[in-house]
This record gives sequence, C-alpha cells and structure tokens, in this order.
Amino acid sequence: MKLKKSIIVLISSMAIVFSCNDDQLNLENPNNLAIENFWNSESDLQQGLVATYAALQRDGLFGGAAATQHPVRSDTGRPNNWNANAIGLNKLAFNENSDIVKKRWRDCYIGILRANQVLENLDLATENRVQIEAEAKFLRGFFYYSLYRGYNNGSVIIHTTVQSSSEDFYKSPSPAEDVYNLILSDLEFAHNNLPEQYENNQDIGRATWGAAAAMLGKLFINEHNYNDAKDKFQDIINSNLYSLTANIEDNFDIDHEMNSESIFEVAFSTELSRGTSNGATDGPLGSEATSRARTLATTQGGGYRTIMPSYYMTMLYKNDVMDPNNPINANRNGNANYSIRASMSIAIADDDNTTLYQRASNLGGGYNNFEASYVKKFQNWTLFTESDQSISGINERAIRLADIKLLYAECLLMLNGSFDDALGQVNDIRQRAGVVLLNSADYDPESLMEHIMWVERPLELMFEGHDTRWEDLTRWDKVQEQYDRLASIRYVLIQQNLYEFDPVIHTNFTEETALKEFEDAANSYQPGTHNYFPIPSTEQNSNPDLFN
Amino acid sequence: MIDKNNFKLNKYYMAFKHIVFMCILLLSFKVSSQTLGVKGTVLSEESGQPIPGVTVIIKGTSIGTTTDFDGFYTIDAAMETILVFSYVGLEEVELTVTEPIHNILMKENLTGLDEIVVVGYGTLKKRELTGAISSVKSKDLMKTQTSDFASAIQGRMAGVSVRQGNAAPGENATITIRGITSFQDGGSGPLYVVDGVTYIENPNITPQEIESIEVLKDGASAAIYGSRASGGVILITTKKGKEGQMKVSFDSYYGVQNITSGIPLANTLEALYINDILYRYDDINFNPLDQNPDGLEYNTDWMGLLQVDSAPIQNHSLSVSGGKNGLTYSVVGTFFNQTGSLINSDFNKHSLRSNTGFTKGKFTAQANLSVNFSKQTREPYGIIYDAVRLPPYRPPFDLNADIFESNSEDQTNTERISNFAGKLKQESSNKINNFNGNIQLGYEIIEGLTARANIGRSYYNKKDRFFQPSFEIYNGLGEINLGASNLNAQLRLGDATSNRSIDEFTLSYKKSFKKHNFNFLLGNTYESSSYEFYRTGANNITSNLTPVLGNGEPIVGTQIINKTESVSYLGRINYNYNWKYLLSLVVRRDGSSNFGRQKYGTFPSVSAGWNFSNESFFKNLKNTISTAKLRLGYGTTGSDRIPPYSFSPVVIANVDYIFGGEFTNLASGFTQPGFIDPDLEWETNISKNIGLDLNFKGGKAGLEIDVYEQDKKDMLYAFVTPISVGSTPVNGETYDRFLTNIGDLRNRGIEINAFYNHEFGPVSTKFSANFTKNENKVLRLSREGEVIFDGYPNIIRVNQTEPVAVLEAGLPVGAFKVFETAGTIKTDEELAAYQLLDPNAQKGDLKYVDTDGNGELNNNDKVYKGSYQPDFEIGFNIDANYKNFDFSVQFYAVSGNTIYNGQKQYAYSTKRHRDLVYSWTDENPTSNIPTPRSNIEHPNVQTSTDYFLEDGSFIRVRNIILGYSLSNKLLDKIGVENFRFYINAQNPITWTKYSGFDPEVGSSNPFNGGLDRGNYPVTANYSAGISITF
Repeated sequence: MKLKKSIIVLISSMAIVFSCNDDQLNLENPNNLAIENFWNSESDLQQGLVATYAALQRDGLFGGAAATQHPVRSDTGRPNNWNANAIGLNKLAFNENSDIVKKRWRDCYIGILRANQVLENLDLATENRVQIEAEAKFLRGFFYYSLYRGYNNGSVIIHTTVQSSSEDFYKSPSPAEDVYNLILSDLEFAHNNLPEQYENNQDIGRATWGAAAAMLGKLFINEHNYNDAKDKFQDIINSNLYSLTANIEDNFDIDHEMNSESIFEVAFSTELSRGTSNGATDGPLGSEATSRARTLATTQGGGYRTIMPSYYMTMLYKNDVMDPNNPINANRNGNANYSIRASMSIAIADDDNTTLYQRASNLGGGYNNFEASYVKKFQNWTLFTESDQSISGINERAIRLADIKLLYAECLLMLNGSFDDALGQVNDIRQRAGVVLLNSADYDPESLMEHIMWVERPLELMFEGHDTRWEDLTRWDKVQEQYDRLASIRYVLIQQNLYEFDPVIHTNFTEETALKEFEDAANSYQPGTHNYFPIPSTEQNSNPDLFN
Repeated sequence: MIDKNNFKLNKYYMAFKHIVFMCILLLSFKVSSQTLGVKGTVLSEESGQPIPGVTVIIKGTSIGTTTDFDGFYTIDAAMETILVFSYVGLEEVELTVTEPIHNILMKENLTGLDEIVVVGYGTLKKRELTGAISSVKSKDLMKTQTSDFASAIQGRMAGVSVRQGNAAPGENATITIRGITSFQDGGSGPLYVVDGVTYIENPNITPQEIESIEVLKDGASAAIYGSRASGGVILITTKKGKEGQMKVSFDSYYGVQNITSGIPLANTLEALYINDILYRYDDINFNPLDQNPDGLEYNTDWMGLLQVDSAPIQNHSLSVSGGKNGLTYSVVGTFFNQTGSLINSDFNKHSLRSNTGFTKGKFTAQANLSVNFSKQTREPYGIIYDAVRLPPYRPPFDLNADIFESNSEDQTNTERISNFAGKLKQESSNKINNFNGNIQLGYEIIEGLTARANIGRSYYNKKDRFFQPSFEIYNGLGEINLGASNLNAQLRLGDATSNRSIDEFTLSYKKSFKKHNFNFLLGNTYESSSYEFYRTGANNITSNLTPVLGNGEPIVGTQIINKTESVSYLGRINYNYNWKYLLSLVVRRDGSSNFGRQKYGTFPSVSAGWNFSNESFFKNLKNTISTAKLRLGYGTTGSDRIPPYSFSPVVIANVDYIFGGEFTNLASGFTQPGFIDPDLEWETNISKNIGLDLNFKGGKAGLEIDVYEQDKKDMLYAFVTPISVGSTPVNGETYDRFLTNIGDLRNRGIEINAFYNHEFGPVSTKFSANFTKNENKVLRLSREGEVIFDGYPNIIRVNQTEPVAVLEAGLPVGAFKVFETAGTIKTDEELAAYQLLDPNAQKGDLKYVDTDGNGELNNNDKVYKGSYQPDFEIGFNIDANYKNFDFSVQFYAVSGNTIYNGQKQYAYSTKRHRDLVYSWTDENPTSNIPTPRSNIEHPNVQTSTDYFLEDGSFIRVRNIILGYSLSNKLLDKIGVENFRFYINAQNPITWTKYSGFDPEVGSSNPFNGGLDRGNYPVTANYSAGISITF
C-alpha cells in the first residue's frame, strides 16, 4: 500500500511539472515598457520628442563637459594647470581619444536616434503632425550641425532612420555636402513650419521659427554664404519678436530665463528632478541640472575652476571701457572699475563694484596659482557656494539676439552693405553693455570687422553657445593669426591683478618670467589637423565599416 | 549502489575487527622472544605473478625487508608475531606467523583504483567513466587558507584554471574549465551543483563543508546539464555523516598576510626631476615646490599608508558527525575572519551546515541545510590609483582624522588630497545572508528501479551600504576649502534578493544480466529564479554619526525585477559489457524563458570507454600496467546565460526635459535607448574528447591524458553598437550594446594528470603533477573582418583610455591588439619623418608604427601582441610523510601569457613611475622611455600601445605545509583520536619577470583577463593551525 502511494505521489508530481511548461517560459519584462506598448498615440510621439530635447542637456552638447571644455581651444578659455583634458585641448594636443571629442560625437548621435524615432512614427500624429515633425527636424538639424561643424571636415555618418536590424548599424562617413544638404532640408522644414511664439506658457522653450532661422543663418554664414545668412538674420531682427534685455546679466542668470533676447535655450533645473548628482542624466536617478557651475566655480564658491577665462579675455574685459553717460553705469554703486558686462561675465580681483559668492571680489576666488580671473557667466555666484551635488539650474542661452545682431553686422560688412546699419548693431550691444559707443568716424568696414572679431564678439559671447568662438575663428580663417597674437603677448600678475607686461613699468619681470599662453597651440596649429575634431576612437572601435 | 557501499564498509569493519583482535592477542600474550626465519613468495591475486618490492614489516617495529625480483622474501620473526605486507595500490595484508613458510596473495586495492566518482544525477565507479572528470578531495582543499573553495583548487586539476584576479577578502577567484568558452562577462564560468542543486554563480560554500569536488570537463559528461553546462560543471559534495561512533573534530588556524610587491614609484627627488623634464619641454612654468614649500622634507609613501602589515586571517571550524540505525548526520560550523592587506577592507563569515541522511529498507532521504552570514568591507574604490597619483613631496596625513589640514596656504594642494581623503573616510560594505536547503528522497520501487525527487530552495540576500561622510579640508591659513571639502554626507543603500527553486524528479533503473550491465536514467527538472533589487539613499545626512536614511534628503530609488524559468527533460543510458566496453548516451532538452522565439534546445551526447587492460592480450602487461582505459566522447552543451528579457525591445522613461517660461514644468520623455535581436538563440558547444587512463603497478603511479576539442557555435555576445547609431547607456544598463549570436570559437588542448608514489626509506612520498595546454581561437565573427574592441586597462578615467583587447577571427578571445611602438623619436630627422604621421609629435615621443604604411595612424595599424591565455599551466605537488611528520608543497606555474600593466600606464600618465627619471631628454638622447607630457591623453601614455605589455609567466610556490601529528601512544593517553599541528606558508615565493603588483591577474570578463587594473594584490600568508578529532 505504502509503496503504491509513493509511486502515485511521485508520478503525479512529475506530471504536474510536465504539464506546466510553455506558458511558464513566457515572461514579460516588468522593468520597462515593451516597445509594442509604445508608439501608439500622439502623446507617445510627444514624449519621444521630449527625449530628443533631453539630449541637448547631455555632457557633449550643452552639459558640463562641452560647455566648459570647448572655450580652451579658442582664445577665450584657459585651463587650470591640473586639468589634463583641458590642457590637452588648449595645446591642440587633442586626438581621436580625447574625452570631449568622444562625448560630443556620442551625444549628437544619441539626439539623432531620438529624433529619428519621432520622425519614423509620425503617422501616429492626429492633429500636430507638422508641428512635431518640425520640432524633431529642428533638433536633428541642430545635432547634425554640431557634427558638421565639429568633425572630420564636415564629413560625418548620416542616419535618418531608426536601424531596423544590425546590418544597418555600420556606415562610413558621407561627403560633407550630403551632410550640409540634410541639415539644410531639416532646418528649412523647421523654419517653414515652426511657430514664431508659443501661446501656451508650458510650451515655451520649444524650438521656434526664430531658432530655425538663426540656425540656418549660422549654417550659411559658415559657408561664407553671406547673402542667405543676412536674409535670415535680418528676418529675425526685423521680426520684432526679440529685443535686447535691458540688463546684460539677464542673459546669464537663473531669474531671467526665456527672456526677450533669448532665441533658443537649453533648459536646466535643480528643482525638478534633482537626481543623485553631477549634471543632467537620464533614468530614474537622473537629473535635469548641469555640472557646469561647479566645474567653473572658484574654490571659495565650492568648485574647481577647471577652466578660467584666458589672460587675453581677462585683459579685454579690463579694457572694456565704460561710458560714464550711460544710465546703466549711473545706476551702479558709484565706484565701478569695470563695465557691467565685465562684472557680469568674469570675476576680477579688484572689481569692487560686485561680489563673488557673497564675498568681495578679491576674496571670492583664490587668485593664486597664476589665476587672474574666473567665469561668472552662467554661475550661481550670487549664492554663497555652488551646490555640492555639482548641479546648477541656469539655462544655457544657446542662441540670443546679441549673437544674431553681430552676425548680421558681419554679413553687412562682408557684402559691402550698410556700414551704418552694421555699426548700429554693434553699438546697440555696446549701449546695453554700458561701454562707450563706437564712433563711425573712427571705423571703416575693415576695422569694424576687426573690432567685431577681436573685441565685440568675445566680450559679448565668451563661454556661450556650443563651440561658438571656434566656429567664428575658423570661419574667418584667423586661428593662426589669433594664436600668434595670443602667444606674443606677455602678462604679469601683481597682487591678484593681471596686466599686460610692459618692460618699462614691470621691472621685476622679464620676458622670461612674465606669463604667457597659447604658445604650444601657436606652434602646432595646422588647419587641416586642428580645425575639426577627428572621428573619435570610440566610433573607430565600434564601427569596422568606418573607413570602408 | 548503497548496498554495495555498505557491503564494502562491512568488509572493512570486519578487517578492522580482525586487526584489533590480533593486536589484543599480541599485547596480551607477550609472546616469547624465540625467532625463526620466515620466508615465502608474494604473488598477485589477479595475475598470479610474483610482485617485487613489497615491504614486509614486523608489526609494531621498524624491522622489515622487501621482496626481491621474484617476489621472494625472508625475515627473522618470532612465532605469533604479525607480519605486515604492504605495497602501494595493493591491499595491505597482515599475517600471524605460525609456520616458517608463508606464501602471500595480494590483491588490488580497489578503493584507490575504483573510487566512486560523482557524476550528474548519480555516481559511477571510476572504471565506468567515459568522460573527462577530475576531482579534488577535502584533504587537498584544506591546504589553502581561504574562504573561497575556488582558490583552493588552483593548480590541482588539469584543465581547470583558477585566477585570483581580485584578492580582496571575500572575493571569489575565477574558474575557467578548458579555456575561455564565452565572449560574455561571466559566461565562461562553470555550472555549480551542490548536492544536486544548481547554481550559476559561485555558491560560496565554505571549504570546510566540502567532502569532494568533481569537475565535469567535457561535453559528454556535462551534457546531462545541457544548456547550463557550456562552461563545464563543478559538482560539490558536502560532508555527510557515517554510521558509527560520533566524531567531533575541531580545526583552527591563524595567520598573517603581507603584500610582497608593488610598482616602482618615484621618490621626492625623482618626482621633482620628472617634473623638471616635464616642464622643460612645455610652456607651463610650474614648480611643485611653490605649492609645497617644505616638500623636500617629505618622501611620503602613499601606497605604504594604505597597506596593512601582517593583516590577520583566521578560521575555526567545528564538526560533529556520526550515525546509527540508518540515520546519519554531519554538522559543520565555521567562522572565518580575514583582515584585508589594504586599508578598510575585511571579511568575516559564519556558516553552518547540517546534512542528515536516513535509510530504511528501500527508502532513503537526505536533508541538507546550510546557512551563512557574511560581511565584507571593501577598500575604497580605486584607492590604489590615488596612491599612485599622489606625489611624495606632499606631507602624509592622519588617515583617520575628521578634519584635514594642509601645511600650505595654497588651495590646489588641499584640493588634491580631497579625493583621497574623502575616499579614506568612505564606508563601503555588504552583508550577505544565504540559506540553502534541499531534500532528496529515493524509493526503490522494484529491484533496480529507483524513483528520486530532489527539491531545493535557496534564498540569497545582499545588502550594500555606502556612506560618504562629510569632511572638511582647511588650508595652512585655517581657511576652509569648500571645493575640496565635502559637506554633503551621502548614504547609498542597495538590497538584492534572489530566490531560487529546483524541483527534480528522476527514475533510474539498473539491471545486469549475464555480462551486460545497464543503467537508465529518466527525469525532468524545473528551475525558477527571481531576483529583485532596490537602490535608494539620502543626501546631506545631518551628521556623520547618524548615517541612516531618515536623517537626510531622500533620493529617488530604483528597482529591478528579473525572473527566469526553465524546464528540462533528461535521459541517460549507461551500458557496459563485462566492465570492458562502456557506452553512455545522454540527451537533455531545455526550455528557457530567456529566449523569445527559440525557447528550446536539445543537447545530446555519446561517449564510450574501453577497459582494454581487461582484454586477454593485455595479460602480459598487467604487472606493469594495472589498468588501462581508453575514453571517447562527443557531447553537446549550450548556454542560455543572457540577461532576462533580452529578446524584447523596450522604451525607457525618465528621459525628461523642461519646458515653460516663468513656471517651468517637467515634461516626461520616453525613448528607445537601444536595439535587440529578436532571433537570439542558444549558444551551443560541441565537445570531442579522447582520454587514456593508465595505472601502473597497482596504483604506484598513474597517468591520465585527455585531448579535446570544443567547438562553440553562435556565441552570444553583446557588442557595443557603433556610437553613430546613437544608443544610450542609462543607469548602468548597457543599452548601447547589441546582444546577438556573433560567432564561433574553438578550444582545443591537452591535459595530463600524473602521480607517482615512492618510498625513500622511511619517508613515503607522493608526487603529482598536472599539465594543461589550451589553444583558444575565435573562428568566425558574423561580419567578415570584424574586430570588436573592449577591455579598458584602468578602472578610473576610462573615458581617457582606449580598449586594448579584441575579438577577431583567428585570434584568441581577448587578444591584445594595439599599436606597435618602435622606441622614441630621438633626432630631428626622425621627428620630421614622424610628423608626417602625427604633426603634434615632439622628440622624445613614442613612435607608433604605421604598419599598413598608408601614412595614417588608425585602428587598421593595430597589431596582435599576445594574449593573456597562457601557452600552458602546470600544477605540481609533493606530499611526504615521515613518522609523525607530514609535509607538502604545491607549485603553480603559468607560462606564455601576456599582461597589460594598467598600473604602469597609469603611473606613466600621472608622471609618477620611476622609469620616467630615465626618459628621453636632450641629455639622455638614447632612451626609449618616452618623455613625460602633461596631456594625459598623449600618445606617450595612451593605453592602446604595446609599451605597457609584459610577459606574465610565473612560477609560484602556492603552499608549503609542515605538520606534526601526535603519536598514537600519546593520543591514547589524552583520549584523542587525532591531533595535528601545522604551519603553512601560502604564496611565499613567486618567480616572475612581471613588474607590476602580481602576475596573477584575471577576470570573469573575457576581455579583461589580462588587464592589471590595480586589482587587490595577492598576499603571502604565514599561518599555524591545529586539528583535533575526538
């Protein structure tokens, strides 16, 4: 009896197991939405579009790394002597393996994949199809623009669809013209279909007609197509959609985001989704903030001042002469040494009229270790310190009217257009900056262009945009000239203050002991090698078809 | 089988009784001293041939002789004394002298030659085996002092390669059987089966609990585990009780560990000189002494500060076993504690195992329960890198202080110690609670037909805790440095729970008729596992003294749930004819939830054996070669080791952005972050094996040779998609990788196990050696000419480094493929020529070779520069016994492997390596050591060159043990069965040319196997222990 029972128990238990098979093996992923449950409605499409915008916040686009590192390659930034990445970039000793070279490439393509996902599922749109398509194309055009201006003489890999199998992964770079044409068609679609403004407050920050026009203008001007560029810049200026803010600092702080001057911004926030730390990241622990501010803040401000304004830039600000008759200056606290534009852009030790991290200017930074100035633009310098989570919520003004006005002036000068109009654009900016206006008698088109190149654009736009200054220098083909100039200047630091070295006055110094910068870059610059980043090693390593 | 065992046991018991009886007789009669010449011939019972060299001793004395060539002996012995005839491999014979001539028949000692070997779902006699199986017994495991049984089997079995890649307390060594068998991280690991319960990962069994470890190396043996077994199978049998008197034993050791090597770093003067070189060719004027005015007074050895000298290690275990009336029990309790040789690391583990068996009539039951609790404290992440990076002219500081003060007014100085100081304060630990239990029931339904059930459950919980306290750093003026200080005390907690179950039912039928012996097995098994992981934490904890969640600002948590299910059916037929011709057929069909469209795979195997020493033609050889067997096997296994749900593409949430003017709102974003292959299928492994087993002179010596070839098809691998595809890795999820069946791999090799016993007078010795040669080669990748790069030589600053290992058809897995360098640029002419390749080059830079001569340097110029997979490995053991002393020494040697010295590369890039003193300068124009450059991405220190590759061959003395057991006389007095003391030196000597910490580098990731990434170094241990049995 007992024996029989045992057999029955055993066999029946085996039978149970035998019977429960196939269903048991079909498991659903509880952690993430399966793709067949997404891309079902217009709201999914909108969410895909949000993710495409989110790519702008990444490290290689407008996040901390790109925003802080790019300036050291141009004439505006100076690396701290312990930051090897920035030193390498500053010496033009970057290569396919450099951090920033890899990050910018990666993040542009992440944005492109996200845009392509939206564009591929456009059929889901019920009422806003054109709007969604236009935004996605603006963003895709923006990402390709960064690649086109940044890499391999503009010849980069093109993907306009979401890869449907692994066979589609591997592509070699397309000719630069093809990349250009893609950007052009994407931006033109955006330009033709994006609204001038968003009525609904919660849509502010999305791409607009003005942003697309500005990008088209930039695309054209870099090709020296001044005619088309001028049209676009003129459209923006004449649209009366934008105006210079009364106070220049409104363009750099957290309290005046999306202001009248702003054409396109990359949004950051420390309030919405704080994340764990260290800049904007995706995922459940992700953050919407940028690590930029802590990276550039002084020690006193709880940061690392990894990159500082170059000595050249510092001297430009020191020499940015205030206009005593400008009411902006009248409103300042009497004893201002430097222009409001200087005070709001960088920290200088003897800038008594302002503060740095709630301390006097000279105490808010160390000014040791041959440091002459610090970046204040897009910094939370009105606080006591930056966040020790390395997060900042200040939006990056990617494109603003002042930039467009100067580019417009450049077009006019290049096309032998109205000199007065060009001068007027420059003076609009100078007026707002509280510095002396340029007198038309002192300038001709050539010298005004020189002024724009070497004074106005750096002073106004230092450390802004996505590698803007390098685009300028390479467009003008003035890199070597500027490096040679930079390398020839000698500086001295006396009691925390920077001066241009004068052997007559600064007898404690010699040509040898005086400070200098950009010497290596001046020696090694070769347009063919250095104007563009090489295709990064990460792509080389992962894409065997790259050179085929 | 059980009956047979019992029968054997009874026989021994009878013999034992007999001997005792004789002894009593001997003692009680106090026989007369009259001696007589006793003589005779010793013959083999099996062959009838005389046996030369048999030792004949008068029991209880050292008087003795040996038989001559004709097996003849003569000895003077008194009547009624006992003569003991012994010969290795033959059963000892005791004989009471009653007449002048005693001819003796000696027979083979089957316990040695026919030991029982555990195979999947059963046991076999060794002579029945047709596959390649190695085993290690408890005694040898105990020679290594570790909490990890894996490191204890290093060098003990041919074909089983063990690397202690990370020697931190509580870390497990990596076991690879017959070469790298997977492209995936962890994919080459074997399947572990503990008393019938399977584990994908090292089951963390305390070595003291293990009776024996069997390794199924070839496909034919492993096929019974089908899809789980492509990396081989390790069967662990834990200690069971035996019927008889209760046995209590206590084992204990205590020892100290020391790090014995390091990388050569510059001292203060050297460091300043290197700086001088650095800035001589650079436009940065920077004198480190400006920031460290009293720098010359210091020569800080940061690495030394991190090391704990003579870190203790100890283990105590108590076991109780016995049995009566069909009930057996064994309980083993162990406490292990190891202090790390690097700061802030230690491990302790408490474990308890209780195995109970019950047999009554046709019913058997076995219940095994094990519980263990461990706590591991980990050294700060990448701390060795900090020790390399920090310059010696900075003053050391009190590692335990709450406030760090710099002696300098300079801010940068304080900043530079910030990271290091912060890490020293970190608390990083994990606690593991592990419960395993299984019940095995068996019932013999009719004679020979047995039904068995194996029900196992295991629970594993790991709690991670990381706490970064706040700390303040002040400069020499007493001002706080906010950038360097950390005011944000952060707590991170992780909790991983895994529940696994196995339900297995088998029917076996054993039948012999005439000379045909059959053994059938049929069964099915159902396994299920679920894994759940949470992470959460808080920032800005209010006080370092109250590091719990509620005392800070909470951060958002994350959660992951993974489930896998599998269903399998298995069948096996073992057949032999007269124990001469052996055949084994196995098939297993597996279904796994890890696959989408192809859920099932079938894995057949066939193997055969021929005990040709039983053939009549072999008779004449029988005296020299006692047994000889040829084995042939062909088997298939597979691998379903991929993350669950890999076949299903997902979209991820939380890819958000902010819109809005005055009032901003968080817009929720979703994206498809990566790509999946819906057609994923099983990775399969076809294994062929030929083996030859020889036993000489009845077990005096033995030799096993196996030659094998394993062809892996459709290898699973998740390659990094081209960056231009735009996949996003999020939160550590590797969405930027594409998991697919990518290619084929072959391992072939030869394994030799040999032993030899010899008596040097009173010293009996056993020499054993094993030799492994494995050739590993990627045969095909799905895209022709594809080269997949992976393997980063550093764990920090990874973004600034390039991978150095590849998958490429024709090369071993993880082969180094890097730029070849040809010394430094020494002259202006060389420079001018080289600048065509690299316009940024300067004199003193490394010259990369443009191997394809196309005037450009890119990946196509990288060349194969060796592999971490050795040409061969050797384990060599000597055991010797002399009177009450026992001695053993174990050597382990690896030859022909290449190591990437990632620590050297890091020390070069941070300008800290002593070599740089001798780098190229105008004054040292012939040097091939590249000039230091400030750019850490500079070609001179770029990771992807052959400059940092080194020969990793080594010979290591793994253990030297000297033991002494108290004599029986003394033991009787104190009422103890056995009492042994020993001293043990572990890893005391290593011979190698490798210049880094330790040539034993390894990783479960096939690309990282040869990368010295600043891993926790292996230490030399010196310890003493006792073992007592009551």
